[in-house]
Amino acid sequence: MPTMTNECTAVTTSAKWITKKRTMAETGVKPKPVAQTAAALIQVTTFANPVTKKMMMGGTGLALIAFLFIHLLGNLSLFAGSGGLNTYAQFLHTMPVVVWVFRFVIALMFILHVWYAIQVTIENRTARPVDYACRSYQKSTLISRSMIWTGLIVAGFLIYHLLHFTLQSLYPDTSAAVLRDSLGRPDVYRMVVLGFQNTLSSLFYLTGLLALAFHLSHGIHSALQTFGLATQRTLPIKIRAAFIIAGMLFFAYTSIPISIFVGAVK
Amino acid sequence: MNLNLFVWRQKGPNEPGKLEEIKAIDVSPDMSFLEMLDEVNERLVHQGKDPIAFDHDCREGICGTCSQVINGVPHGPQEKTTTCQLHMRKFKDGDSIYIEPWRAKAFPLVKDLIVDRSALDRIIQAGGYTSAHTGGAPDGNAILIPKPCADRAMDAAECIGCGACVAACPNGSAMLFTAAKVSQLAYLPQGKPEAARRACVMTDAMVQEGFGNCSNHYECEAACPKGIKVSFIAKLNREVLKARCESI
Repeated sequence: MPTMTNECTAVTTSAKWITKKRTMAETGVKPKPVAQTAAALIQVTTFANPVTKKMMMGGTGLALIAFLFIHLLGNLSLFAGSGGLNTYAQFLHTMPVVVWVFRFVIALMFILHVWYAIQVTIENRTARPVDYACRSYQKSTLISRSMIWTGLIVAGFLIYHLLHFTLQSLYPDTSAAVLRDSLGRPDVYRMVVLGFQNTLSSLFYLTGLLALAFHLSHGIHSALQTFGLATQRTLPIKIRAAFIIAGMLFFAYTSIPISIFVGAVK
Repeated sequence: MNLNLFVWRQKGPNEPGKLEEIKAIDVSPDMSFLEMLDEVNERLVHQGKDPIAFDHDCREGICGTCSQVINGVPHGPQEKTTTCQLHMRKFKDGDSIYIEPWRAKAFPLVKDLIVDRSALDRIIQAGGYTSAHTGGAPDGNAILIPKPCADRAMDAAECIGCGACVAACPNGSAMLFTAAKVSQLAYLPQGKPEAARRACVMTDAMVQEGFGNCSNHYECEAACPKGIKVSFIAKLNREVLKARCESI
C-alpha cells in the first residue's frame, strides 16, 4: 500500500484549492435538483440492484473489448499492403447480413454501456452532496476516478472514427467509394493511408486511443472483480494484467497511424 | 506539541456548517487522537464555548463508533487503525490537521463530527440474519465447517460497522460493509438457507438508503480499520449472480 501523503498539512501549496473547497462546503448542501430528478427517473426505469448494474457495465464492457480484438486483427491486415486490407474489406462486403448483425450487437452493447455509465455516475455523484474540504486518496487512481471522462472522450472519438472511415463523409475526395485499386475494388488501403497522413487526424486518433487505454486499464480488472473472478491473491495480478492488455491494445492500434505518419507504410 | 486544528463545526442537521480553526496546545505525543480532542474540549468549556461534538465509545478500537476524517482519510493516516487508537506521535509539532465528519447522503449530519449511521443497521436488518432452531442447545460440532470457510467468515466478521468504507469511497458506496456482512454468513452452512435472498435484499437496501454504487476504486480497503479485503466484494458479487441464476 502506498504511504499516505499528507497533502492537507502542506497548507501553503494547496491553500487555494482548500479555500475553494471550503467555501463550497460552507455554503451548505448543494442540492442538484436536475441531477436528483434524473437519478430518480432513471432508478424507476431500470434495475435498481447495484450489483446487477455493475454486471451490465462489466458485461457490455467485456463484449466491447472482445470486439476491439477482432477489429484489431482486421486492421493489422494493412501491414500486408494494399492487397491485404482491400481483400479483407471485400471479404466483409460479401456477407452483409453477418456484418449488420455484428454491428447491431456492438451498437447495443455500446448504448447499454453508456446508459449505465451515465446512470451510475449520476447516482454516485449524488451519494455525497457535501464534499470533503480536504481529501487524500490512498488506493484509487486518477484513471479510476475519471472513467466517465475517458469514456466520453472515447465516445467522441468513436463518432469521428465512424464519420471518417465507415460513413466516409469527412473527406469525401479520398473515400474508398471514390478510390479504386488496380483490381477495381474500393481502395480502403489508400483511404486509410491518405487519412493518417493528415497530422490533425492522426493526433485525434492518438488522443482517442490513449483515453481508451486509460479506460481499459481500470475497466478490465474492474469487470473481472464485478463478476467475482478475483480473490485476494489474484486481484493484484489482474490489475497488472489489465494494465498490460490496455497498453498492448494501445500500441497495436496506434502502430497504424504512426507507421503511416512516419512514412513506413505508404 | 502545538497543533492547528481545522474542525468542522455545525450546530445541527439543517444549520450551515464551517471549518473552524482551533489551537491544540501542549499536546502530548502519548495521547490518543480522542484524548487530544478531550483536552481541547475541556479548554473550550472553560472558555464558555461549545465543545466539539464527536462520536466515541470503547476507545480500544473494537466498537466502530469513532468516526472522523482526519486530513482527508477516514480514521487518519495510520492504516488499520481507528481514530481512538491513533496516537499524536503520528503528527509533528505545528501540523495543521483537518477534521471532518463522514460525508455521505446516507449519513445525515447530527452535530459537528457526529453523523447518523443507522442506514448501516437497516442494511443488516434487511437480511443479515440466519434462521436457527429453538429448544435445547445444539451439539457444539454437529455442523462440520471446513477450516478455510471458518477463517474467511471470521475475517469478514471483523467488520465493526464504523462506515469508514463509505467515508473513503469516492462514490459514497457501502459495498465493503455490505459485502462483509453478507460474506460472514454466506461462508457458513448456517447461513445457506437465506443466502440467495440475503445477497439481493441487502444490496437493494444499500441503494435505497442512498449509498452510491461500487466502481472498484478499492479506496475502502485502504481505509478499513479492520483490514477487510475487497475480495469480499467479489464474493458478494458472486452471491448476487448465483441468486439471479437460481431465480431464473
